[in-house]
Amino acid sequence: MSEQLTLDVKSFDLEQAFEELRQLEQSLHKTDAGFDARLATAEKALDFIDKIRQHLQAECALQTESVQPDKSLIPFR
Amino acid sequence: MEETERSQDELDLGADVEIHSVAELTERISGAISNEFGGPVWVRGEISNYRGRNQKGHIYFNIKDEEAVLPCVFFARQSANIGFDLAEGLEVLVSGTLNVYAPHGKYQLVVQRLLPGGVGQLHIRFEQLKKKLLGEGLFDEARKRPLPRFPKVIGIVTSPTGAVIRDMLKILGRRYPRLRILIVPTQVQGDGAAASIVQAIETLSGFQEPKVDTIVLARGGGSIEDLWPFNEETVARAIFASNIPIVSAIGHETDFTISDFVADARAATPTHAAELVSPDGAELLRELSHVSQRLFMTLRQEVDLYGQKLKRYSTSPVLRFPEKIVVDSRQTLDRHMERLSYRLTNLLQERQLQWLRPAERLGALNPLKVLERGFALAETTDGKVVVDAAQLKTGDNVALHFARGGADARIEKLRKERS
Repeated sequence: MSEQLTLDVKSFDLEQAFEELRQLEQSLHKTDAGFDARLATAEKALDFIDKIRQHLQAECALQTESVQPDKSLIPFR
Repeated sequence: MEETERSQDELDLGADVEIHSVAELTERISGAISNEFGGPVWVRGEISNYRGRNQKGHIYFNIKDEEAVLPCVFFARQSANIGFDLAEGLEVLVSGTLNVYAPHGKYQLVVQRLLPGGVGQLHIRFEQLKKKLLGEGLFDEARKRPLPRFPKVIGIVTSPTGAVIRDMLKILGRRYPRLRILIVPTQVQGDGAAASIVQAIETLSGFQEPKVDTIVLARGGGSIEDLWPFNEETVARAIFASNIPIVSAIGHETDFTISDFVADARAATPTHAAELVSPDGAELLRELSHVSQRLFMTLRQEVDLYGQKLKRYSTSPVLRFPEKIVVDSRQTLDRHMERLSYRLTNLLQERQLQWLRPAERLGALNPLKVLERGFALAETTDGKVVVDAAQLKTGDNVALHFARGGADARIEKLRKERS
């Protein structure tokens, strides 16, 4: 579970977040877990969805850089 | 005259001489050509005897070199979009199938493709390199890597000026503005372009900080000569050697380059490449909504199921009237007891009857019953029942037994009676 999930746009691992969300959704279908446990899983998943949504909706702009012959990076214009 | 007639007469047509009709011979020639040239052939030459399209849109011309002429027909359907004007003396490369046009008794090339001479040369180089690299496995689908779904850094090999990079950045920014884009300004046309492209690929592949997730080779549309650097072997091998997935986006949708075949993915256009390498934020949000709905529906269905069960229980007579179970059971028990009692009584009566009948028969044999009818039983002193007068002699004592009581008697006289 992503206890350390952060809303830092740069460090947020969207792939991992979607993967964990997928696993949560999958475990929700395991009926032998009991309803209360599954309800808790659903709450976690919804929490996850909120965080991913916040990440996706956070204001940010493409970071474009130009690779120089010496492999240094300068802003691309 | 006489000489000619004589020579005709003297012709000896042996039995093994095969004589053809013109059609048959032409048919055989046609078959021989088909056997020799089963598929399309490429021929280079100069257009001659060009007269433009006829009324049906077909083009008839010859191609020739210094030593030979080949009649050609370029039918309207195939020649509709050749893209340039044919002219007398134009050097061309044509591809087509050879056949025989029997009514005129001539062989000809039915043209499928026609390329201008210079382009033709490039086309041949393209086909040869394609065949070579295909043979070496550079196009194998099995080695193509999937593009990361959520890349963080994308490297773009393209010209830093012009519409291509602007359009790509616009699309990337709109779809997923969290990306970091590294642009390697690259010469994508003319002499030195191939080397520039190779260097750019190697530069991006070698980057450690930031690490590049996907590389895009991008170039706008142009002539085959313009796009040619992306058909160079060095570029193909650099793509193949890259440790990062590469998307090739060269020219328009109809343009195919060697780079397209080697790359892990081909995009029809540079803007399509931008879509291919970046997730769509709006689409991801929609996906999240769907997941939310699915979560809700999954639990909702279960709650509904519980609701249905509860409803079923709450309307169940057992739960509404639990005492009814006892009452019903008691009635059932009573019913069973009645049946048991009835059945046992019948059974006993039947058995009694079965026992009485033999008892009656036994009763009939009881000697006391006989005595009741007035008979008497005589018994000697040693306890033997007297059934024959010969058992006795005069003066013997016997005991007489009656139905009730008895008497001792002495034998006075013996009689012999008929039994």
